[in-house]
Amino acid sequence: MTETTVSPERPLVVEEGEEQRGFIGQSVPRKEDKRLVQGEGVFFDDVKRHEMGFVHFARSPYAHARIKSVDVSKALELDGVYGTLTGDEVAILTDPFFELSTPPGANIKDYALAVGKVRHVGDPVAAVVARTRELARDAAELVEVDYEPLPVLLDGEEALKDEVVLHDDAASNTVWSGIFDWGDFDAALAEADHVVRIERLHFDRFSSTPLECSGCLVEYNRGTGQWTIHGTHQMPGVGAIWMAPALRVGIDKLRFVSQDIGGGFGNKITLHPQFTACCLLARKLNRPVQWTEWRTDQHTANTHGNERTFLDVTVPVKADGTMLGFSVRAIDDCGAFPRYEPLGCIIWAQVTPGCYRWRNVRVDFTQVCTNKSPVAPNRGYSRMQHLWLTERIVDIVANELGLDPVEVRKRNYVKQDEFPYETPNGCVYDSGDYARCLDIALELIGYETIEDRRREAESRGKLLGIGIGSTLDSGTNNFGQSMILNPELQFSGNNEVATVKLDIFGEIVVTLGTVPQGQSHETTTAQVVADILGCSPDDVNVRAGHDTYWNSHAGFSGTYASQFAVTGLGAVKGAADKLAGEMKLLASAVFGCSPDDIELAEGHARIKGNPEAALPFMALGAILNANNAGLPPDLDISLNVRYVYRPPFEKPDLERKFGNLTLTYATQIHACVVEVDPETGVYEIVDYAAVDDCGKRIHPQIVEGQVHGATAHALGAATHEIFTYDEEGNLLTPNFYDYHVPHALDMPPMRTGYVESESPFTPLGAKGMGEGGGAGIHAMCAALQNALGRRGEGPIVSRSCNPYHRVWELLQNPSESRKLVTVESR
Amino acid sequence: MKVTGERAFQAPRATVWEVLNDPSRLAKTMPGVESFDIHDDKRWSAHVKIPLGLGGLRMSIDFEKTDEREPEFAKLHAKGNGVGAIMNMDTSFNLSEAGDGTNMQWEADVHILGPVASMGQRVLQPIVSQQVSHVLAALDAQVREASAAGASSEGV
Amino acid sequence: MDVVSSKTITVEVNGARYEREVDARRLLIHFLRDDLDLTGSHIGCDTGNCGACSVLVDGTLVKSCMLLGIQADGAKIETVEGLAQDGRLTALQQSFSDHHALQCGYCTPGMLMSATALLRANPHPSELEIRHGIQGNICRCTGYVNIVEAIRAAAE
Repeated sequence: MTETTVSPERPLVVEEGEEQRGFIGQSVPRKEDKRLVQGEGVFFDDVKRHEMGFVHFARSPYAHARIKSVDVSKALELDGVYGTLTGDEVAILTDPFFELSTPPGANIKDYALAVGKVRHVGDPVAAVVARTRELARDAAELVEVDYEPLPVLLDGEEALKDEVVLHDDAASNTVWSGIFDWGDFDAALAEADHVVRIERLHFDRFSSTPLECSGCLVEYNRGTGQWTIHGTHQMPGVGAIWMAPALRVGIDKLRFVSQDIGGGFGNKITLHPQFTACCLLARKLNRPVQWTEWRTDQHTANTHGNERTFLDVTVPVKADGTMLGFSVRAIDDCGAFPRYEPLGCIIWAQVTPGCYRWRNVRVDFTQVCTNKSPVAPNRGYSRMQHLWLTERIVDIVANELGLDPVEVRKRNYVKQDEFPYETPNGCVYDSGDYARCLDIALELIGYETIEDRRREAESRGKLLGIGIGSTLDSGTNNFGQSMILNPELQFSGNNEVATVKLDIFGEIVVTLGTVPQGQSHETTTAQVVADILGCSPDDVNVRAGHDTYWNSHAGFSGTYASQFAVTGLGAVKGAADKLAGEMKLLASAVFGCSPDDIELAEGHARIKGNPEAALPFMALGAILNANNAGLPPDLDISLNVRYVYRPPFEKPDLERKFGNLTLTYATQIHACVVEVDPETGVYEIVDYAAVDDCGKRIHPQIVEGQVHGATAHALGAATHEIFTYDEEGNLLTPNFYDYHVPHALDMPPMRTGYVESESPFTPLGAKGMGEGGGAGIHAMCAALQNALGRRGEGPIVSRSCNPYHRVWELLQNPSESRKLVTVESR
Repeated sequence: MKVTGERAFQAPRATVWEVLNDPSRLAKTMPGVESFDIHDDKRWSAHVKIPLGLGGLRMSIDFEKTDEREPEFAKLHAKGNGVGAIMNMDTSFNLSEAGDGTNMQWEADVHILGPVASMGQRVLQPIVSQQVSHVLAALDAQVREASAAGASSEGV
Repeated sequence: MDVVSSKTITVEVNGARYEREVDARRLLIHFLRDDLDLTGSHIGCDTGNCGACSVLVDGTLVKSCMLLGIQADGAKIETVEGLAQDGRLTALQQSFSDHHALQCGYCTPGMLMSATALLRANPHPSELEIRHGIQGNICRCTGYVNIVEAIRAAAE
């Protein structure tokens, strides 16, 4: 660990545009901070209700077993236990959760508790509610379950054989499968001067493990049949779509409330089973019930990122290093229950050719269930796995053909003058300058002196390697892509909602439909509103968190998929623009002039060129709300605006699997320098650079913070974070004791730079960013590959996670991994 | 995890067979046995304390003899339940005469489940091996005792 | 099941004195959060690895999930709620905000207590010493970059 952490004093960039006044583009103080630094945030576990009961789940110790009987009688005898819930009850009281896939995946029956069978270690079998957390845990241990163990399935390729089947109703482990074929791969193959074949690459299982575990406090109102759920659900719009039909109630009967959430990273999207169990308990026991997940539960039973195997990768290459495309067979292991899957089977297609101008791509994609923890859209969801594939392809091809990895990337990158660029499957990359970002990253990393540093390291007995990772962070989904997987689904487009109002005392109040878990929505919202209404962000009161009762949400509301800067702020802008119009209209009615003569500035509505004629916001609010006699009868305003932002999307062409699947594409290009000890396989990241381009940066400091965080997640996944199982299906890294996430000493010195290529498609020119696309993983794999041996010799890095022992294995036996790659030169 | 081994006993095969098939004797071979119950000639249970974690891991283990060919082969299935741990074990013994003594070949297939299992094989294997060596040592003692009393035994 | 024993303890937290009866098995972090309603300190794991529950007990930085409530009997405890005075943030808290050293804010109370302990013992730490000082606190949002910067700036 070296001592310097360098952020360039003058950031290396960028578009020197026109002088911009206003708050957008400035790093204003964050509204969220004051409460959070004082420990006055309200996370769900901070909320208390009188006489509430604490829930503990009795969970399966078997990865796969039939449930012969569940006996809760001993648990119920314990003093202080309020009640229990078992799978039998759940099967009677609820219908299975809605499945997104086509058959056989459609036939999977997924309930709030295990019914008939358990399918992964940690699968909840029964729930106990008691007076204290400790009693609930004691009582859960008294639940007696008789299991009949079944053979365990822990491998995606094995799952394809359907010898051990998890879901009897589906009679197959295949959740979804399909072939994607764009361009003309066979022609590309014929045209190639070299064909590089990679037998197998594997993207390992990991998760961004938010620090706050999942949970909820559920209250049931008997009189109205209304549930109120204080919980960590980061996409309640979709959560309700799952839960309401299962509970056989209308969607409005589920009220989701949250204020602060301690990280989500996609792992708090599929909480509907546990939340449904808590809803049933709250109703059954007629008292509020509270469930807090344990860290061990989060790792074993909720949730992992997709694990993906890539087989038979075939890459046609021209003599000058131009790649023409690739073909691959992908097997995605989604664990015991699909839930949000099979969306991962299409979402990668948002970035089909990665950053490259490849026109011929064929992907044979199958998703299967195994006896592992179910997956969820973990940060980078499905694109990260695919982009890792494209980067490994570029890296390995360059390595095998002796090409310069920088030159080969620039040769194949989409060029700056080609934007907006339509990919082979109809996605439109809005803007970017990949070559420039790469140059900045290389400059930050001191690329010109790399060979000197390599020699210097060698003199100390160390192997130095440099690697590049290029990614795209595609944001704002067109949910119509789900119809490509299942034409029966009625989902397309996207939306987000915001309300902005001017209150009686001139206060501006905003409510959002999103569910922030640290993405600074209150702050960036205030910046946008302040610029439109001509006031300061301090004057804009953004309600913290999310509440169904605010009625400022829509079907897709939530915080996920790198879209807030587009959808969330798009809704905010729409509402604020409309409110500004109404304020000007009102002012013009009061002044007796035209609304075009009115400007909003410094917290006033005033006549342009005559700043003395000014109404403070408070006056406008008061007039309409409390003193409105005498206003023109046709003045149709409310000063309370609700706006739904809808990105411009068409339904995709299902036949060709073609269409625009995301609105924006942020870029992140990282470069990484590692030093490896060839005796032990231990390595150290000695230099790191991350360059991002997310269009107009609303709040530069926040954007950079997201880049830092995404890098840390990626580096964890590249080095030590991996979910591995023993042959029984026991997770060997079930908590932070064994699953090593980066701590402060693990982070390398990091330099950052940025470019702002505005998006032509979004309300503010900003692009969603935040997930990051896993650039750190791609850069690390490339750096290790580069360190361990080059030019057709040395091992091939074929796994995404390379802890020290794996590097050591590669060093010990380089020919083993070499066998994975063949080059056919014509 | 699989464990196998061989042990030579200075006692006739019939004696060793007798000890192995006598639940009350077998219970004495197990370390940490706090109590045991015999249900019938094929089933019995033991309550044990295994040296794992603070204060030891208490388990109740149900044994069932699933197969036998007197006096050369026996197979047992054991199922144990404890806090944070479930154990399933299938073990078999092969006895062959070796001069005046007996050669025992045994193998066990041990499955550990529950939170304890996440510690992984590197932690559990030594504990299992330790338990096994205790069992074998105690079995030795039981066999010697039975041997000494053997001449005057009435087919206990 | 045995009756769980309990004890009446007296603690001083952020200058205020509390006397409560607490279950013997109740962890200090749960005592603070549930019994005393001091929900600023958080829980992020179940093995004492994440540091979200970090508090100062008699001046020593401690993970309050690794202590029983009854072990804190008679102690002076400082939690994040005791840092700011009358809503005036400490230089450290202000620095965290200025440098965007928090995103979701969940690790922040623990980070602040660790940083407070560090700066009390070492008012001008080097970057490496800062990283050591917060090595026991996991953050999944920030990558620690701005946290280290914030602590360094506060130390000046």
